[in-house]
Amino acid sequence: MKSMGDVSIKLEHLVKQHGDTLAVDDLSLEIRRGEFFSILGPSGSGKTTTLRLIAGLDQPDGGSLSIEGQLMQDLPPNQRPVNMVFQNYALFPHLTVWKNVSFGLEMKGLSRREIIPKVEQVLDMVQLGEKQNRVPAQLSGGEQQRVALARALVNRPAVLLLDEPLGALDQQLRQEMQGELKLIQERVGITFVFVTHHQEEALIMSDRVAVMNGGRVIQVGTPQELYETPGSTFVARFVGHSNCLDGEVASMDGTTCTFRSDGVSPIQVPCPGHSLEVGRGTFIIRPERLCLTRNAQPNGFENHLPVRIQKARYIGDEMQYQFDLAPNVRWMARLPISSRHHERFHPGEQVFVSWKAHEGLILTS
Amino acid sequence: MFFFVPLLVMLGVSLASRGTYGGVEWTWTLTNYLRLADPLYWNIYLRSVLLAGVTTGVCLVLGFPLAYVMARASPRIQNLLLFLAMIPFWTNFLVRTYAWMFILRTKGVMNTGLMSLGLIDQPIEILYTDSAVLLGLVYGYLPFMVLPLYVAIERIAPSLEEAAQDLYAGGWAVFWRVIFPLSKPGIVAGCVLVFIPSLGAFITPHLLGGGRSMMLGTLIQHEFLVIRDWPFGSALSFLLMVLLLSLTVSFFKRQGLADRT
Repeated sequence: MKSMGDVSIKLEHLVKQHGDTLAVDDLSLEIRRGEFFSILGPSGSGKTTTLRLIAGLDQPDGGSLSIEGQLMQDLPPNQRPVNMVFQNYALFPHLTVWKNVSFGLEMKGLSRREIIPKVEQVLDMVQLGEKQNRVPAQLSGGEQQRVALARALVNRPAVLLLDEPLGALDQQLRQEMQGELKLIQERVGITFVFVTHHQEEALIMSDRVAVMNGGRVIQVGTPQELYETPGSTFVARFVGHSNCLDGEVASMDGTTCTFRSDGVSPIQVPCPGHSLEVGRGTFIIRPERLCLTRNAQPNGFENHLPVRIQKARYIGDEMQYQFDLAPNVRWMARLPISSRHHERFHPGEQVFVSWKAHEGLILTS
Repeated sequence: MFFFVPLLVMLGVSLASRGTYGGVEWTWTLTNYLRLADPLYWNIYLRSVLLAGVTTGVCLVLGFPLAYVMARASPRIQNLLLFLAMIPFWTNFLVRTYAWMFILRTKGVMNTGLMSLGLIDQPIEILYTDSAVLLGLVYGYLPFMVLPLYVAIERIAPSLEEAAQDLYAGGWAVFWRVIFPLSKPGIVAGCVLVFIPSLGAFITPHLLGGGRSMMLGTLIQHEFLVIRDWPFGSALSFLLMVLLLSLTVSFFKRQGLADRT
């Protein structure tokens, strides 16, 4: 065990085929003990399949999987040290909250004396002590979610798997539960593997995130790494919003390079040095890193381009402006509204978009 | 109307008495109902209930795995299996029962087949026994067990089984703790649908039982058509009906109670 270090789950070259398609395609991952790890991806990216492989509900067609240093091959789900919170909770409709929560402990063969305090404690933790005699149909969505969580946590698994557990909740409840889930995870110290297609949720809650697409892991990193230094345009677009521009790196000059694209004035971009070569690539910048101004004079920013506002959206705390940098290259700028007297721009207006060279990023394909 | 008018006529007849040559004489009497308690018939009642009960049990044990496989198959296979389950209904029940006689008789398909394979030396004398009746009843009423079970099991989300597995339940525990309690409505409906017609079955015990092993259904037919004692036949029919009605009501009452708790 000691040689495993702090790795809780190790997936090596996992392959899972569903019919003709590879749901999981040569997937390798290491999930650390005690971390809140999210698997983020669009639907059909293989994230739920990955979770089911860990739980043992699906069998891999290749590769290996170990949990806490123990190989899981051929181990049925009821013998794995993991528990799962299912997407639609999968609560037993014929059993009370109490019976749902005690199910796992009973199956493990614990005595009633041992079961009672454990169930009481976990029901307290999710604040459902008073509703222990209800059946799931008598509970709200949020309460059912808590029962599902309690039913899994009461077994003190090495790893808790969560399959889009907040997907069925409305926005407000969802945000509440995000905070609560994170708090519970910190309190119990169990490794959480959290599957979601909701990028904001993944960023808020996770210690690390794996972005998946087409059955492959595209990038693994902390939320900040993914947001600030996406490794591909897919990640840049999927994690937060990105403005993209295809073109080529034209010349290198010390710390900055020039990026050229048809119909757009040359753009100054940072040069990370060795990793960037002259050639085709995609320029990426986040909408909130852009400034808009009516002033034609560059305001100390390296990039300053004239554009015409196409759409203006009022969100309350920010304005979202859309404009075309070049034909078919629509960008968005997000400007916080910090005052009632904030300067507004209007559709059709001619303005300038500007940004500092180091806020941008070049991705070569 | 179509249900109650014949019922009232039957009630009337059951309170009348039998004429010398088999007609109905409208002198009111309760003798027919008193005759029901005659020990002569106890045997037949018991046999009927027993046979119907065993039929129901066998149907349940056979039907559950069938229904489960059907409910968990892919939609295309499901349709195919449902279609197969329906095929017997296309042929008249009487014809199918004769087919069973053809299979089971001493020199029938089964015996010649088994003997030519060398599995048995002597033909199995099964036709005109209780086993044959049981076989016929199970064959006839199995679909009535499978279909409600299929409907009930199909409504159980597969994720519930997965959740139980995830919570350390082995195969049997998943069945007893999750699938079985959740398919109870289907089990009750299936048992009622099999038990009731088995209890009153007529064609199967008559043909496969050879009239030797009488059941309630055959007895009623016997009273009406052979002995021509319409009043007593009516009384028997009423007994059967009351029996079935009270059974059904108690079944569903229990079901209702189970649902509420």
